Amino acid sequence: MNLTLAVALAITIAQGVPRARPIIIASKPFGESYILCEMFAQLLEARGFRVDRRPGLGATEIAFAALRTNAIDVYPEYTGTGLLAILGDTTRQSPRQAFIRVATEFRRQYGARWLPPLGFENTYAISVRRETATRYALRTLSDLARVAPSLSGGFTADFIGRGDGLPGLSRAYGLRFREVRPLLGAVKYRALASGDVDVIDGYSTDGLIARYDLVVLVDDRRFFPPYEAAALVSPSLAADDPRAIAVLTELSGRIDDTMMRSFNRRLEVDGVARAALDTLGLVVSKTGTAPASRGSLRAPTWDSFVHETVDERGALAQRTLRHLLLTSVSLVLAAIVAIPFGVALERWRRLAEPLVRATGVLQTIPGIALLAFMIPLLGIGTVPALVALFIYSLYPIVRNTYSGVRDADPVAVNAAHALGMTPGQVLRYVRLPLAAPTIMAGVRTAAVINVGTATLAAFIGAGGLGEPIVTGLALSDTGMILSGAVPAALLALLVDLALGICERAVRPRGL
Amino acid sequence: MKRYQTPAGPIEALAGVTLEVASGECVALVGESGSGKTTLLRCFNRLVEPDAGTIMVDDVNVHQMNEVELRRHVGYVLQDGGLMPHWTVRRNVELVPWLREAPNADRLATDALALVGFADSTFDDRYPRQLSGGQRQRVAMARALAAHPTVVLLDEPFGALDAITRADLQEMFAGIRKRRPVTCVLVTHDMFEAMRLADRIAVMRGGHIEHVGTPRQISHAPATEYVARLVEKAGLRRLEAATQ
Repeated sequence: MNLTLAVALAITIAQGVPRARPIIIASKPFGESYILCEMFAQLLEARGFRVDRRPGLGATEIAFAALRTNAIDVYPEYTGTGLLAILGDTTRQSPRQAFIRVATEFRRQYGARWLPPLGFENTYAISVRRETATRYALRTLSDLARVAPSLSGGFTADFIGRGDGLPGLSRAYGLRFREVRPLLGAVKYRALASGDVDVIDGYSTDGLIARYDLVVLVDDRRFFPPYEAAALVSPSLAADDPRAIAVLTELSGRIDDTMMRSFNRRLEVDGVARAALDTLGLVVSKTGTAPASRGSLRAPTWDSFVHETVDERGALAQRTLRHLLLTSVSLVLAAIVAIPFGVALERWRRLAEPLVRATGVLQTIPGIALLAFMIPLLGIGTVPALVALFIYSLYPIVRNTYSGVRDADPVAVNAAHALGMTPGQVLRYVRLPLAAPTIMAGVRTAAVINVGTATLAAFIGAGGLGEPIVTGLALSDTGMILSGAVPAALLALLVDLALGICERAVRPRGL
Repeated sequence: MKRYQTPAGPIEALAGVTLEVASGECVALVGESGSGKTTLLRCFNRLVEPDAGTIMVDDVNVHQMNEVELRRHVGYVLQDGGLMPHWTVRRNVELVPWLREAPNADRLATDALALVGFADSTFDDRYPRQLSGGQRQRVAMARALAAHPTVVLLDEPFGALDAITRADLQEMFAGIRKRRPVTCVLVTHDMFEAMRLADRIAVMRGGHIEHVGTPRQISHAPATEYVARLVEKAGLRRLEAATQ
């Protein structure tokens, strides 16, 4: 009952009731996007708007799906990404042409609005170590093509897969690497610095390019489209609130490449954003001096971990609670559905295996993909996260219930029938009690999987312990990642322990 | 007649079997594995439905009775006891009276437990796992008798026990029949056991009955070569056991 209500409510919110709610500012899960998101948010707040932050939403697919359906209102996007990843347009264009094209097409197709570009470009920066560049005399991507067969590349999975990424680049320059390894954004630079790979796909505004003294190879054949950053605005905000649009437009043309690179170099989202707005004279900092000084590029892992878990223990406790809530609500709902389903399957044995396997297939859908599928239906936030976790919990419970009930002591079951129990009585008094420990073991497995999977919920803004993991991955902050991962692991252990006790409690005496 | 479908084609598990059991009588069904003795037994409480033929109990065709009701009025003892592992001894014995909603279930269980030698209540709260094989079979016997059924079906009730325990339980069974006359159908592969416990013996082979008669008729005038061989083997085995 309550769930139906919650779902209905969430759908209403996702569809957007005109401005009765705060403006929802989101970002994709990498540092620059966080900073811009925070800048948008603080600027709007300074102008008296109510704002809700949803930083670190999955990838382009998730963020844009959320924007299109008005589940979020603004996030920073790049014209090249809009052109290629969303419109699928591969024609070569100037920055200006590209902007005009995405602006018209997005308005026409989705009702979404691109605000004038912020002023900097963040294109792919194929980078090598200075030492590699010197040794092979590399300046351009054409130079790289010459020696690529003796080098190994480390690229984000996204870049390896996308047509406008490695496949296109390889065709344009005739590139062939000795090997290509998919790497996570956060570890790319370290892998390059340590010599594990020789070439990576950086972003031109990455602070790390300067820090590691890397050489960015020139795209001499102009393969990459322009990637100008701009605020992308949802159909509902674009239609309903010209004032907010005007405020956001204040940022247009104000941030150049150098500026953005230096912001990125001091990744400390809140402080940098404040300092940035301060610098631009758009917001006068209340504290006088910007608190950005604390954030060195990457605080040593331990310090950052201690900061996140000790100084921010209130936030940690809240995330843990939220995590537990996501996990337990989805688990209880799954048990309510899966246990009767598993029991019913015992009656229709012929259907049982195919159906159990079908729930098993649900289990194999990658978490991010499942979350992405759900955005058009349920928006972002708690409801789709609960639904995803619910789906993941089904299989272990259905499987264990079915086999527990089916395999319950056959001699006892046979005797129960022979002595005159009705099938219902056999189920209630013999099969179910005997299967209880097995069923509980299934619930326990589901719970532990759930605690782990719930960290992904942060990608669609549902919070929990995944939040610092997503942010930490984006900021290359191992300590922050651990401040989510370690409590999540401990939570999984605790949940396992607690349900282990339940499992013993439901085991009938005498077994 | 009972026919089973197998990958190799239909098999007649029972064919042309006619057997009459008088009230209070104990008839043993003896034969090798696959002779149809258990299939025949299970027809009595409709765990097996014959493809043709009728089974009458007290002039009522069992096929016309509600099968659940029928089973609540027919005692049943399985080779492996089949006790509910998660129930205490007492709850197991109270099972059928409870199913029949007998108001005096508790007393019926006490009486039945006394019949099998558990007069004091020391075993009441134990679980089957805590009992020896022989004790479990006693409890199974008590469970079958608790509701005073008119017929008790026993499927190799002592088959899984060691020789000494088996002898004890056979003695107990004979004693129970003296104290509480009940119609029994006993399935066993042990001709010696059949001779010791049954009033009449039906020797089965390949789905039909080779010979029905009293133990004396069976041993002194076996109807067929096969029956003679069975009798002889049973006797020989006893002899061997005695000399060792």
